[in-house]
Amino acid sequence: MAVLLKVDLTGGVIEKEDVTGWEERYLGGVGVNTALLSDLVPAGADPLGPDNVLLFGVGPLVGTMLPTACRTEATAKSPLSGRFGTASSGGSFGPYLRYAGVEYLAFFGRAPAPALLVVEEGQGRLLEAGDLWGLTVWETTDRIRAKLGHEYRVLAIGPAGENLVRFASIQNDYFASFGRTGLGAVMGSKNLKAVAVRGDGGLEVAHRQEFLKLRKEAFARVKAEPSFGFMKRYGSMVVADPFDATGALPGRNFTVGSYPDWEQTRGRKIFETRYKERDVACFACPIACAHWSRVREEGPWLGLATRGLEVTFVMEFGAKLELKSIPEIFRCVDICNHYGLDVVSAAGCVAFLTEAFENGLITEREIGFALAFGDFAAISRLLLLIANREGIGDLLAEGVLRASRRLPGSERFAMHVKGVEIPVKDPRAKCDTFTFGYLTSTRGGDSLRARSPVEAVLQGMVDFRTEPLGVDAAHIEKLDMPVRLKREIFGDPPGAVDLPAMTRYAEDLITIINCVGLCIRPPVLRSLGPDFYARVLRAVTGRQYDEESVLAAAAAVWEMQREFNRREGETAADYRYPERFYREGLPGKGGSTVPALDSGQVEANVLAYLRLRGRN
Amino acid sequence: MADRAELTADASRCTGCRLCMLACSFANHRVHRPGASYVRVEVDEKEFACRIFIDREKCRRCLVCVEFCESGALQAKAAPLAASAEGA
Repeated sequence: MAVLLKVDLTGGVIEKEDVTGWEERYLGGVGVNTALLSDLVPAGADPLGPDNVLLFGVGPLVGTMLPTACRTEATAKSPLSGRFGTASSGGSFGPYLRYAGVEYLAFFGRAPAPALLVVEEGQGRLLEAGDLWGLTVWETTDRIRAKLGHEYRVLAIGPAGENLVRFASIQNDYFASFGRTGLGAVMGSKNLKAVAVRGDGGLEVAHRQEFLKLRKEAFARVKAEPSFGFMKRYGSMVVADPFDATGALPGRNFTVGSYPDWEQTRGRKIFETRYKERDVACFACPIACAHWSRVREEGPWLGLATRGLEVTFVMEFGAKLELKSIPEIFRCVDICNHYGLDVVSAAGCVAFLTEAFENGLITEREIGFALAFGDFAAISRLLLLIANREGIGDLLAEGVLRASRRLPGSERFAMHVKGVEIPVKDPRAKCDTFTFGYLTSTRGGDSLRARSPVEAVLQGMVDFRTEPLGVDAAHIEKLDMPVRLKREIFGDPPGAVDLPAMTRYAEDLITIINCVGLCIRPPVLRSLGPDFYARVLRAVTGRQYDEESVLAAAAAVWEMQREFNRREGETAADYRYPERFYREGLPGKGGSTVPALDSGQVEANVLAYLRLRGRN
Repeated sequence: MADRAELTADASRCTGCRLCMLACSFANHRVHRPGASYVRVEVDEKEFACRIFIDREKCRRCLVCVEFCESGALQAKAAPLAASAEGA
């Protein structure tokens, strides 16, 4: 049985509901969250009002010993975009929620005073949490565990969520973030400071022998994937240097694609040799792509220890904001984690204001201090002002779209799609599934919901609609993907990658992964596909699926998200990059310049994609 | 049992994935239930430190935990029987 706890924060009433039917139909996790959100939140609801519903969903594979089966999805109407909002987090909260006998949480209304939900033995209870209000994520987590016990897993918001920063995060296990689309602000608007869970129950599987075979197969496939070793060694930093080499960095608010000193100052090798101390895994993950790191060099950050470096951290603070010092990047990310800010949007807002300042649209007097790319003191100060909504931080806490409307002339520096700040990679260098996905994602400008399982990172596009095939025909033959889609995407015989068709497939594949609760890291994304997920869902749940039915369920989930967005006013015209990408070339490696995107070509790809998806 | 390899633990290598606990509980109790595992890994996420406890009275030395320990923190050593209740 899949259990939903419905928590009415206004009245303090908690009810239990069986949502097995929804889970069977929409696979779980983000699928069930999407259906619940569409059903429960009225059109036009204020994302920060009591009519919004904050959901946490843990898919049916989470808590089993399949590789990376630990993810939790949080979903609500986004206060940043005003549309579908969702974010996935690793850590251990999800598995332990299931061990506590609960799969889904739905928070309604608004608590009259700060509240903490405690879940254990299939039940929830609300506790008063006035003493936690105002505390950082670290302080909150420590205090809850000191009071309830260290066996409790905690997810919490920091001051940014309380202050309704529109891109506030929710954190669990301190470092694991539900980062994007501002769900921490939704939690803050509900006066919900944290959720603590203690779980000691067991999860059985429907067909034990079949499950054991599939477990073996899953580990073998994930570990045999060529990216496994690199991911273990560098984590997501594995692509830090290739992005520089291909001139795709988001440097200086997307005006510089490459830096001559990139590898020497904040590349993957210097991270590995100078800072990385040991490998850190999320629950049930054999990859351990996170790394515990420590600053050993003399200076203000001597002794700083943290979890990192993720490529997002170095792209956002190292490139977009031009910090050259890894310890300074660590410190900025620590501020985001402690105060509960999404790294991508926070860095995007600081970069936006810095460029507006450099162009004379806002003065030192209005800000209170001067801004410059690479200026750690100014950048870290702005992060704290945003989290506390103090001074100029109150403007930036609204996100770049709203902030730019209040600073005439600054719209051209607001780098967002559908109101969500865009991350880590410049589409001018390569408008592939990764960056084209910024346009098509149902949660706005983001890179984590469309990722090709055959991505060729270092090769350029064949033409504007065609990606190179990064693997050989034998690989395609073995690839876990329906044959009809292989023909549609790669051709027959396989020769290249059709961008719109791959984008749709990649979105559906990642939707499946976010439904069942595994991780999208390349060793998983590239090795396990719809056929495997169908077989393992059958073995674990006893429900009947095949590769076509799981893909159809994922497509239906995506369509519900699009319908939610259409209901909130989205049109095909919203599938558009910031104007900078169509008007300015991008300085890249060795003095070269990548031309601006051709608006007609991008629109042709969007139309082809929308035709594949159905109406918009 | 005397001829079976001994389970050893080196917490400094542990990544905190806890796959060993899942493997143990599933092998011995047919459920995924970390609390029922004869290997217990406690993870301090904040400072990142792991502690590993082995219930040597209950452990049957099936070594399924070693099979799923990617970090090498748990290893099988062909050592003579040592009957400490908890180790590492």
